[in-house]
Amino acid sequence: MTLLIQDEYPKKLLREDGLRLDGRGLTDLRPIKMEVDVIKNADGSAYIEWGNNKIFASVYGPREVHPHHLAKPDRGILRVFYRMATYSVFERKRPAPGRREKEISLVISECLEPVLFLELYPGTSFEIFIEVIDADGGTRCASTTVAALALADAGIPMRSLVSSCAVGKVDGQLITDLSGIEDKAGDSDMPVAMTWFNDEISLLQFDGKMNQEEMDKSLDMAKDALENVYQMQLEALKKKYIQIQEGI
Amino acid sequence: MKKILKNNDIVLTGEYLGVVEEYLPDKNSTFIKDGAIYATKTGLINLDMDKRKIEINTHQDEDRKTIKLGDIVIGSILFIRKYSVGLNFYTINKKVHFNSYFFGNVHVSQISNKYIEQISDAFRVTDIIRAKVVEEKENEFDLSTSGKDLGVIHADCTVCGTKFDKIAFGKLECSTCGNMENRKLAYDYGEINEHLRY
Repeated sequence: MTLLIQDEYPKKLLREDGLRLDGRGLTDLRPIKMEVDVIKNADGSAYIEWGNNKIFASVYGPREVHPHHLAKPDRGILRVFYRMATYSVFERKRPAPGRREKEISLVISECLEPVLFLELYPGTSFEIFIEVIDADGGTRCASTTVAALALADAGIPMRSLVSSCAVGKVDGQLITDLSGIEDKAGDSDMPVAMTWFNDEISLLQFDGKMNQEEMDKSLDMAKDALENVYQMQLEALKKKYIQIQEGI
Repeated sequence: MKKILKNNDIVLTGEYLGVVEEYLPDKNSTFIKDGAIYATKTGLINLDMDKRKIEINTHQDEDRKTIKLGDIVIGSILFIRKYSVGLNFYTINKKVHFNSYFFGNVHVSQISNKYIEQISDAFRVTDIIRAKVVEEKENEFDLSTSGKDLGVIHADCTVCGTKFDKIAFGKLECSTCGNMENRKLAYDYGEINEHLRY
């Protein structure tokens, strides 16, 4: 019996002409589309299409903390709920939040915390709900990017936006923005997120093998890619206010 | 990069606006780092060159959930102290605020423009009042009910719990048990048909 999807990955992830399987160059990003203010009931919301990833983020807050004992008397708290839909991957994903989702939620909330002025809102909570509708590698990067966009759309004071992108190694070559297959079959994978008010890295995870030179080089590649993502984020935010500006 | 700012220009989160010597930055929409002013919100610039004030208008005022001075709030009285009462807010500017974390106090001198000897002459616990925000103190707010449209808008009898009827200005009577009490009433006491408790 033949399987619908092949269980094994292709042996070579780079084509003979040096391009990747989906026709991208080594440092090319997948096509990205961003939009803000897509969910009416949320205080702020955003939607991103990053390659085959489709992700919604909605922000609520500042509001009262439930359960009450989590509230901090001197500052607000940020809670992130990253969830994948059952139909977002090829095999049905169990709907209960698992180890991976809890980790990503924590990582994203710690990554976004330095840009927020939480000390201005004591006793409150900000909640970000991230729904992954379609997943194809790099969802934590896309989620971080879209969560920052949704926070900005909600009018919550922020020092700057946060952008995120992955870099990695495939067949001995350093590449930017790994797709699902490159993530699973590649040599290494490194998601990076940056806060732009101080140009610092606020998220760095690593999986696989790399030597120090490759590491330095891939961080530079990540920074170049993040500049592009940042410009796209700003453009998406600007689009909403152009309409308002014309109405005045 | 130096850019000349104009009114109603679009500013994006984290954008450089100027140096602290140039403008008086607004606390809610800008922040200062190393002597420079940056935007913390995305919106249109509101520039007042007479007062050298700069702030960012997000045009989301109807969605605002934080309190500014001058807002009208509705809340129920939680407890009475010797010289003030504490209340939590149900609505802010006519918008319902579920599980509000905001808390306000009305000092005895701010209740009315007439002299009030005891707080129990004006308010009792569980009364629903309409008040105006006059001062912000860290996480709490000072409120005032001095004025015709501010004061108690709903009160229950402290003996039997039925709703009070207004019999004269500042006087209430219970139709079931005949108990009479004094309150600082708003002019539209008893005429409000909306749901006040949630």
